[in-house]
This record gives sequence, structure tokens and C-alpha cells, in this order.
Amino acid sequence: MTDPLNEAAQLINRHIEGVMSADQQSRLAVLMRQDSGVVELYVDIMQLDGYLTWGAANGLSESLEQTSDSLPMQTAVVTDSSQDRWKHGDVSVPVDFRRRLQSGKWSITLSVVLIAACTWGLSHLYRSSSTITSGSSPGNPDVIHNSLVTDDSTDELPESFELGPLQFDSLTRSIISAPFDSTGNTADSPDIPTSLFSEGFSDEDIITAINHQISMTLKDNGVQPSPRAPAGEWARRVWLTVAGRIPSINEIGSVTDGIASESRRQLIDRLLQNPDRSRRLAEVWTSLLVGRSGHPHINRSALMEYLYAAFLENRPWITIVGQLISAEGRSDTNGATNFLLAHLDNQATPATAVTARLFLGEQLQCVQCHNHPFARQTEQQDYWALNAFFQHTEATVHDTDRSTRSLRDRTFRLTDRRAAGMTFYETRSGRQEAVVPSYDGRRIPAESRLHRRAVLAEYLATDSQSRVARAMINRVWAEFFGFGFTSHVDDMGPHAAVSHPELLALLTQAFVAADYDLERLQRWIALSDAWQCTSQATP
Amino acid sequence: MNSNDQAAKVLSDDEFIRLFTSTQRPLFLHILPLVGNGPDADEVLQETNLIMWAKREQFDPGTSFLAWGRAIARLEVFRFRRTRGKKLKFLEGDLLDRIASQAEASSGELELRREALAQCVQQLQVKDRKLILMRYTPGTTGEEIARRLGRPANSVYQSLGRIRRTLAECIRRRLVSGEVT
Repeated sequence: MTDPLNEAAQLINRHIEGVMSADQQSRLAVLMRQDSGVVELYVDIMQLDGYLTWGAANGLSESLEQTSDSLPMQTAVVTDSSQDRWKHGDVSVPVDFRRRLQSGKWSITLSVVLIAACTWGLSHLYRSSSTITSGSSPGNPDVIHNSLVTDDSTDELPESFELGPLQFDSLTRSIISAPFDSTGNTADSPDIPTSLFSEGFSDEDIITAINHQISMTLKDNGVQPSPRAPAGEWARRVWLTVAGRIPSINEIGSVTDGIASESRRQLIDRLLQNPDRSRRLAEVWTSLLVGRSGHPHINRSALMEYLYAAFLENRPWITIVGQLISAEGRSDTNGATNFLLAHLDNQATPATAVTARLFLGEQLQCVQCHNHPFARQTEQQDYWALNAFFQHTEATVHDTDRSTRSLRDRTFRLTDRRAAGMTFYETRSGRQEAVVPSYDGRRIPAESRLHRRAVLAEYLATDSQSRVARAMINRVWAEFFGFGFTSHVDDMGPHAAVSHPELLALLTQAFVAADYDLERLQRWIALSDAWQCTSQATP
Repeated sequence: MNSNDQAAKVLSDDEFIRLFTSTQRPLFLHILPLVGNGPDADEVLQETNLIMWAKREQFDPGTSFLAWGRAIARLEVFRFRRTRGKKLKFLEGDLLDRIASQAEASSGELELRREALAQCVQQLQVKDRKLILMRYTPGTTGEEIARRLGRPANSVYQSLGRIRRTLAECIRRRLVSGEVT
């Protein structure tokens, strides 16, 4: 009937996961006695489990990925060095001793140096990138500069498509020629036909376009960019930025051994698959969404786990935002509910302000009470129209937890009343006004009984200005460079000056066209020429 | 007992420690299938280490250090099972012997297996690779992953089982074909 090896594999697996019943144990014993292949499989899988467990504790998963990242189209040198690394990693000094050795002296020194180098480096980088010229003038030490892109362009990325008929030059040109006024005013979303992106585009296309935009700004300002950062400097920077930590000695070894051993493209791709990248994003966003403390009733770890899983599977950012905004259910089983549970007090005004600030990149809290003093387009009414989406949200203590337990231990349930009605607010002159939920020119009629937050999620996903994408790009860019496109990363309203409006518009379009793929966005920025520059200033 | 006339053949402490450290992982991997889980294997390994250290003068430098360690570990496995070990029905009597000899058979190629594993992990589909790396992030259980991913635990177990078997077979294929680079 069923393949005994298959059955055995599942039983062994249940054993490893600690969920094996007595009957299943007996069954495995029977299978082992019947077929020596089962014994072999058992030993193989147990040892596999041993390698992975031991290895993970020792940073093996990094080297695991590393070795074979360099598998296809391999030079002998690379293979050799990765084997050496293996042997090196295998020196069986007891694990905790090695770990102590590494984390003790080394990482402290390293991290101090790193933090110093990187904070300084990034702020410098931004300054240079916002004003510098195209790097490839002859005689410039930057010659290797372009070799990065060329070398790597032969690598195959699962996400990249064939270079289609899409001509990036023309794309960039059409963006550049799009109408912008000096303050980057409302014309923020220039008239690029989205069809340009519908053909499918590769990561190289976008990276080339970023480079083009930055180098034009540099040229306009007559600034010479810094040379390319050495491999080691870059590796530390990318580890800190993407994984949120410095690499272990083994992990960084591969880069400094020789530039050839692992290209920057390979390193960033490896890091994007590293669970630490998702953990870092989850940590950062948990703090952004609910703060570091002050909401004892919310289930912070459930939110964190929700985010971790979402980033790990690279769920589209717009989906994550939609899920956070429209979440319903228990605070322990649906971690996403904790975002709104933290901000529902006071007529959900915190929810309104935080949603606008984090997801739309707009500071709306001041227009809660009055029209914006100089951003004429931002009206008090808009604030309450956005707030109206949240008005029917309710948090209740979950039944089983109602009695004795402290606030901290309670489970809450987030629901939406799905009721009709308008939202009222008071103008400065004391007049009562009423609004229906509306966003981006679309509104829900007062008598509608829809789940309003779910409708808002839908509106955000089809926003004519792609504000969610734009805001996220600003954040990710700021995370990499230390500065966003606007002086405050979460204040991108009509009044805010944008340093590189064309570039921001281009990335927004591309991010939307790539279905809000955060991994790709991180790769584009990490591999852009500007991010390759050293932190050493040009004279 | 015979320590005096064999003094020349006794290892120096330095040599002993070198051999000792280099066999920790192979010994762990030998013990693991015999006791069935990592924490118990660790414990048995610690007991084994104490005995090895206490009896270091009995080791004959002309023979295999690993084999010597395995013999001691074997006795410790039995002792552990008698006293505290979980009574697993597939780790009894004759089966224990067969598992031990199978584990012994693979001990010569541990390094190759490890390299093969690295390559095989890389060949997994991205989803599978993420799942398995997630599972082996220290302190993570299958149940937790299921909760995080919002999938039923059983379906996660099945995926993990499938991936583990795929890896085991991939390793074996690579060893047979000598494909390990």
C-alpha cells in the first residue's frame, strides 16, 4: 500500500517533533524490523536533525546557505575557500566555548567599530548621494564600480524576469519629463503609464534606473561620489542594515578573503533569506506599531509573531497593512489585532493618526482640531473622514478571561460593528460637522453596514497616489541610508520637500508593480551604486 | 594497573584534548539516534566525556580514538536507558544494535555528509528552505511555526517530514554519486 519509507519518514518526523503516540512508536519498530532501509532512514534523519540543530546554534545555517549560494557557475577558488570554511567550522571545539570566544571579545570590539563606522558612513553617504555626480569619469578610482553590476548580472535571480522590450531609458525620461513643481507638490504621482511596468522588469532595470537618477542629481550639483566601499566595509554595513546584527567571524570571512568569493548580489540575496532579516523587520515594526511600552493589555509577542511570519514569507506589504488595519479576532490567536487594540481609546483618534503616519507617511494629528496651517489640501474634514473608518471598531475582553486575571493576562477580542452611521466632530468655531468614511475620493455611504476597515484596506490597495508604497519606500530608503527622501520620514504630506522626487516616484511605481515585494525593494536599494560607496568622504 | 609499563604509550593531555575535541561531534551524532533526542544525547555525551577523561590512560594510542569513545558511549547509552531514558519502543534490544551499527557505518563520512547537507539545503525550494531554517532557529518548535504561519500543526509536521526525507535522500544520492564538491 503506502511506501514503508514514506510512512516511516512521517513517524520519525513525529518523533523529532515530540508528538509521537505509543502506537506510532510500535509501528515504527515494526517497520524497522521489516526493512533495514527504515533503520538507515531513521539514522540519516536523526543525524540530519543533529547537524541542523547543532549547526543552527553555531551559525551553521549561514554557512549552509553560503556554500551552495556559490555552487552554480563556480570558480575553483571559491569552492576551495568554501570548503576551507567548512573545515574551519567543523573544528569541534565545544560549541559554547567557541561561541564565548566569538561573542566575547570579538563581537564587542567589532560592534563598536561597526556602529561608529556605519552611523558616520551612512549619514555621509546620504549627503553625498543627494548631491553627488555620476561616478564613472575616467581615471576615477571608481572603475570597479560598474563591475559589480556587470558581474552580478549574470547571476540568476528567481525573481528577475528576462529583460523585456521595456526600455528603461525611456522610462526614466518619461518620469523626468513628468510635471513636478519645485516643492514636489501634488503632482507627486507623475503621469507614468503603469503599462510600462506591466511587461515585467528585472531587478537590474530598477537598479539601473536608481543609479541613473542619483547620478543625474550628482552631476547637476557637480559632486564627485566616494569610491566603492571595500568588501569588508560593505559586508558589515549590509549585515547591520538587513539582519540587524554584525556577522560572526565565519560569516564575514567569506567576503574579506577575497572579493571574488561572494559577490555583493549573492550576499544580499543570502541575507534576504536569513531569518534574522525577518526578525529584525518584525522587531522594528512591532515598536513602530505599538511602541516599546505603555500598552500592558496588548499581546506584543503575538503581534511580533504575526509580523515575523509575514516578513518571512515575504507577504506583500500592502497585504500586511490591510491585515493590520482590518484585523478582527482574538489578540492571542490573531497577532495583527494588537495594532488597533493599542490605539482604540479616545474615539480611535490615535488609530487614525498612527495609520496615517506609519502607512501613509502623513502627519495628520494636528488636523484633528484645525485645518492644516500651510498644507491647504489637508483639511480637518479629511482627518475625520479617515477616522470614520475606525469608529465602529470595538475591543472586548474575551469571555474566559473576564474575571480574576490582571489586565496584562487578558485576551481581547477586536470586532467591527458593521453598523450604519456618520461620524461627528467639532470645528474650531464650535460647529458640529458630520462626515462619512472617505479616502482618496471614495466614500462609504452613511447607511452602509460594511466592515469599514476592510473597505479602507481595499481603498489603500487601490490608492490613486499609492501612498502606502511611497511611505514604505521612504522608510526603507531611510533605513539603508540614514535619511529618507523627506526631512521627516513619516511626514511626506503636500508641504514636504522631496529630495529626489523623480526617484521616489519611480520606486513607488516599481514597488507597486512588483506587488509590494519588500525583498526586492531591499535588494534594489542595497545594490544601487550609491549604497556601494565607501563612507570615506571625497576630498 | 598497567599504567607503569605503558607510560610511553599514554597520550599527553594536549594530544588527548585534541583528539577529544575533534570527536565530540561524531560522538554526539552517534549517540543521537540511540537515545532519540538532542537533550538526552547531550547528557549521555557528557557522561561519556567524564568516563573518557577518567579512563584516558586506558586508551591505546595505536587504535581509533573515535571507536574507543563509541564503545564507552554505548555503555552509557544502556545505563542512561536503564535509569532515566524515555522508553521508546523502537529503541530496544535488537533494534538498538542495528541502529548502532548503522550509525557506525556512516561515521566515516560525517564530513562529506555535512557538505552534502549544505548543498541539499540550498537545492530546496525557497519555501521549504525557509521552513526548515525557521524550524532550526534555536528554541523554535514545529508547533510554534504552525501557530505563526496560521497552519494546522499536522500540516507543518508533514511538510517538515517531507523536507527531512528529501534532504536525507539528497544526501545519500550525493554520497553515492560522489557529487560532493
